[in-house]
Amino acid sequence: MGKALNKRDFLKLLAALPPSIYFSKPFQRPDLLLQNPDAKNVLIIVFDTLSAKNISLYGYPRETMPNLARIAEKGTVYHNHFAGGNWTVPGTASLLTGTYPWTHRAFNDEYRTILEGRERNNIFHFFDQYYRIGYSHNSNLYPFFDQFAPDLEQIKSRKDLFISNILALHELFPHDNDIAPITWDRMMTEAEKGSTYSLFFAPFYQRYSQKIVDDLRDDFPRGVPRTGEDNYFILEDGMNWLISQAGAFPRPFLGYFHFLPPHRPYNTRREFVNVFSNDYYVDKPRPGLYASNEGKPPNFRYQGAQRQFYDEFILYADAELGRLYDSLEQSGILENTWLIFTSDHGEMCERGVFGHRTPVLYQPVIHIPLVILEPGQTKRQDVFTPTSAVDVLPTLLKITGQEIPGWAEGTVLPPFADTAPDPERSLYALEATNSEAHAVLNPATAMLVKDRYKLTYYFGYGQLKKTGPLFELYDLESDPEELNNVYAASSEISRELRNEMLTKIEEVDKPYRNG
Amino acid sequence: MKRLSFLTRGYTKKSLYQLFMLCAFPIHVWAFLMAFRDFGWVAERTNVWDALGLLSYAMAFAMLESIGVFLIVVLLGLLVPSEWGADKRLALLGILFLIVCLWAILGQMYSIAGYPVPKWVVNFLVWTEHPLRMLWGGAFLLAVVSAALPALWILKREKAKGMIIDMFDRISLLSAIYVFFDLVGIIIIAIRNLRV
Repeated sequence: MGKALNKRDFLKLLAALPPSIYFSKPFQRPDLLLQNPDAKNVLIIVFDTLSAKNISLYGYPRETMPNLARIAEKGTVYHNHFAGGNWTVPGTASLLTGTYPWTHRAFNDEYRTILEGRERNNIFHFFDQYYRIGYSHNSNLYPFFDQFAPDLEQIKSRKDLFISNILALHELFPHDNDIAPITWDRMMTEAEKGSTYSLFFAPFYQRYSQKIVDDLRDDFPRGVPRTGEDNYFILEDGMNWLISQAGAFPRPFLGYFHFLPPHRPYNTRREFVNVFSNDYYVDKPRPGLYASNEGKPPNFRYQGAQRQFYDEFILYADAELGRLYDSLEQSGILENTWLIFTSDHGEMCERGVFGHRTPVLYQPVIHIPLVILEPGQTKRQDVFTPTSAVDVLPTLLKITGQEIPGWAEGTVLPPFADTAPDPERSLYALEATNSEAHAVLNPATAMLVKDRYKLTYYFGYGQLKKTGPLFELYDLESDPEELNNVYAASSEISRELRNEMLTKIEEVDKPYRNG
Repeated sequence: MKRLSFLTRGYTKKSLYQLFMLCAFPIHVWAFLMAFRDFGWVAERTNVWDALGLLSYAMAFAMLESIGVFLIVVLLGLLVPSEWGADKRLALLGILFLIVCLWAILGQMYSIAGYPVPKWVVNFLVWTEHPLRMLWGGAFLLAVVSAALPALWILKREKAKGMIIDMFDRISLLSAIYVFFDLVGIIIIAIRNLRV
């Protein structure tokens, strides 16, 4: 052995450590390109809280997404696509695991992870010959990413694409992209009650962050987009990063990128402010809801304003989507890439309900966009068969020539399936925020879509104590706005769907019945 | 080392050690208490290992803050006349630092408790017709009095200085426990980040 390392040498080595870790990153999976020279990349773009109801491509009177309409001309458009749940945790878990919320069990506010033992049942797991990367503006994705960590080559820290990010936490803590940023947040930024872990540095940090945000106020008159109270971001940064990196990822890659707009707050860019203020668009009047607004009639003026702000925020998201698409097309990446564009759930600005954390599962909350661009596709296709977020996983497996596991609850989407769609197929969605994650569902709202009909089943809510469970049935073909509840216990279709729903709930509750 | 001699002028190794431990103590206690408040929901949200991670990062960040604050306090200590002994310097800096900490903690506790401003205070401020000036003036007065009185007490009475130094000895010992937690925290952070 040579002479022992002295203190000076040790310090030199220590100083060299961070850059060596940093520069080694691009070479983490040098084997990928050689093993799969012909495999196509898969790029999944998710815009949070994007309701199909408010998208011009799906017939909305306001032209909210001209770029998506343009992109869709070279893709397959799914007109009746449903989320698995009504907020990010259940919705995204269904998308990434190909299972319904009652199976993956990530639907509760306090327990936001996939059921133990099912962590490897995720979309990334099957693409082990790919460079797999995940990013999300929304913190709800990171517990999943952590669970899927063995199946991901890179989990990009959400803070990386926030404008006040001054610490490269992702480089300091490469495998801890959930807890490290959470602690840093709590260290430096005030929680609900104005406390921080840091006694002295927090005010300086906050002032510095605020200055960066203030510099952007001219471009965002309604406020700079943010998630939570202080995590400001602009979508441009996310898109610029993706544009710059898409060509640099080792090939083939599977990328999941989840961007927050048009999630609340609806802080659109200056050029889109008030674009829809004078278009005289008035939504149809609808009945109020037992579950909303504390029994008061909806405030239609406020509702109209919220809808306008939401629509204008969608315009901003669409502009950035268009920029991303053009860039990927110009660089030739799309020639070799499946592009999947979708959302995790919708948003509601009607019937006195604003947002998506609501017991109701009306179309604005649960009907989401799905557009799939196949490499080399030049002609648009339209699919009107009802489809679900749980179908994305089996479809991706099919188009990349892989086996579909038996536990997957979705089916391969048309036109990629070998057989014609089953008209008798049942699709589900679930809202069970207040149910225990590992117990029978109660209270909850479950949705069943079969052919043209949609049954919604509300049960266990305090408001229903006297009346018992509530069913609603809509004929989506003749009444897409869900204005006429045609549920009648005596009608055959009501009875058939109700029995099917009750049987399903009984089945999914069974493992939890005896404690 | 010669270049650093201006820093060690007026400080002994022991006083620097005590000053660091003194800086680390309130910063760590506060970070620890706050992190424990979040322990429960993080454990429920994912698992106890993540909650332990939260505590570990909190301790590690608190250590960084302690080092930063310590350096600032040491530099401020150079403003103290050079003929003062290390003990007197330590006692003065230490007590002023603890008072500043106390104010910072009180400020945060007030927010956490969520007490509204008493109505008579609001009425009084309105009555003065210059509420902002009154608030600034009042805060300044409180800060000066709360800092000046203990400082004068230490400077004028040798016994007080001795008492304070004794107290700092005990705080240093307690602080060592938190430094130990820091080390455990750093090990946990390393394990969490060295996943293969």
